[in-house]
Amino acid sequence: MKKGLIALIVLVIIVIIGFSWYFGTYNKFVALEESVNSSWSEIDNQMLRRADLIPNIVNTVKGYAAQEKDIFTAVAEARSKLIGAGSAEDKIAANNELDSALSRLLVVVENYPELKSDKLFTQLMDELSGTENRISVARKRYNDIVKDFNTKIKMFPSNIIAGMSGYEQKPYYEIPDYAKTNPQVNF
Amino acid sequence: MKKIIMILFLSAAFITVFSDWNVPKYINYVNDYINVLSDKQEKDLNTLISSVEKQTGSEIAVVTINTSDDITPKEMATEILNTWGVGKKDKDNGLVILLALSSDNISGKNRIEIEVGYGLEGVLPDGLIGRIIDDNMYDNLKAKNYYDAFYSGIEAMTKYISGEFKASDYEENSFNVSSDFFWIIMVGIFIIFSFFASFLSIPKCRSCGKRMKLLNTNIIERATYTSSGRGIKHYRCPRCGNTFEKAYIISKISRGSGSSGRSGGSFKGFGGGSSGGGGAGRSF
Repeated sequence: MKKGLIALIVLVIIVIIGFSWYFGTYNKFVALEESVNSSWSEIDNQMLRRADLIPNIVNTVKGYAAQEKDIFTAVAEARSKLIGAGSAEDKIAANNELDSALSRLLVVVENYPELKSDKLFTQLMDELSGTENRISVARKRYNDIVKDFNTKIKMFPSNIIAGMSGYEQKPYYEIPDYAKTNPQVNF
Repeated sequence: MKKIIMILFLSAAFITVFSDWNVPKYINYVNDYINVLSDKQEKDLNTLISSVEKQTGSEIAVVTINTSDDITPKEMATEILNTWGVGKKDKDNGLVILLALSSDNISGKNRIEIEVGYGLEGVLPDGLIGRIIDDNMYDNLKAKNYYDAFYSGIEAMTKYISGEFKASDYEENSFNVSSDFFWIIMVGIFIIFSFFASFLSIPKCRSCGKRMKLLNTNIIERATYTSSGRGIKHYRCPRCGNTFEKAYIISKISRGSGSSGRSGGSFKGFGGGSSGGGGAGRSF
């Protein structure tokens, strides 16, 4: 009789611990996913801010280098792709394409010293590189949180709950290799 | 066994040498890690920044450091601002001015970076920071007058932080010739008018009507911080020798903001602000 009661109490305690662990872990996933989303939206904001700056930059460059038409079209196309992109993966891909188009534009700029000394252009370039710095800070923070999230999804025993609740790994925001070796224009 | 321990030790040493760049510990507002400032210059900058903090609540950290291969100067500035928490926690009104000199001090490899906390991004947009570096700091940096560069940079930014200037004043539409011309005329009219007014206030001689000459002024009661003073102006007519006395009021002495903030050592640590990569930089 006594043994049975003890066994029952132990069972109840185990069940309670099990449930509280389940809910605790589940809530952790919810909170983590929320911070993944909010850190992504910071990247998103800055990408759009950058897209907004581009027409001004292109127009200023056109004032000095109207003949470089190919690059203007490439930049404009990449920009509209970024604005039209829906999913995070598409946005990352479009943003990388815009990176490479912009860096080609900046190589062209090197050939026009008057353009480089134009005050409006300098101001726009400061805004552009400020936005790029913000994107890279936001990307680092996003990747850190995604790393936490993905580790938790893969690790035992929280992976059981992730599987049950349908949580999947989040994509990292990777920079393609060519972007790392892009020529930098310094002011 | 000894070999294994040796290997463990060596690998530990290897890891510490090649690990990522670490944020250094702060000393004061000014952190001159590579000694480009004299003690007096450091003290003066600390006093300036401390008065800026008293006046506007914003915190400024000045850092001089060597460039690193692991991390760009911009990343250093971002890391420093967020690790130290420059700026008040709820306002994020911090600034980090980072001077990164390459170890061989080759021109073009040195860099100035200004990192702006979230709360100051509105009054100090990136384009404006770039302009302040160009207009107020760049030449001094080139000439290695780092103190002058920091001082005038901080002064310029403080004008925007305190609201004396607006970021929109800096935008590229100030080449409006007609509006400049308008102000020149307005100022001209004002100057002429005030000359005229001061002339009119000189009394005329009672017998001949000629304007009298000011002989001297006596101060009866000196003005203080709290009360205004009184004085008497003595006039004499140059033609008939008539004299005239006229009392006037000396306005209160205004208390300059420079009289406060005596000590340069009122640093109590940073407030926990954060930033997300805003600001601008230049290579020189």
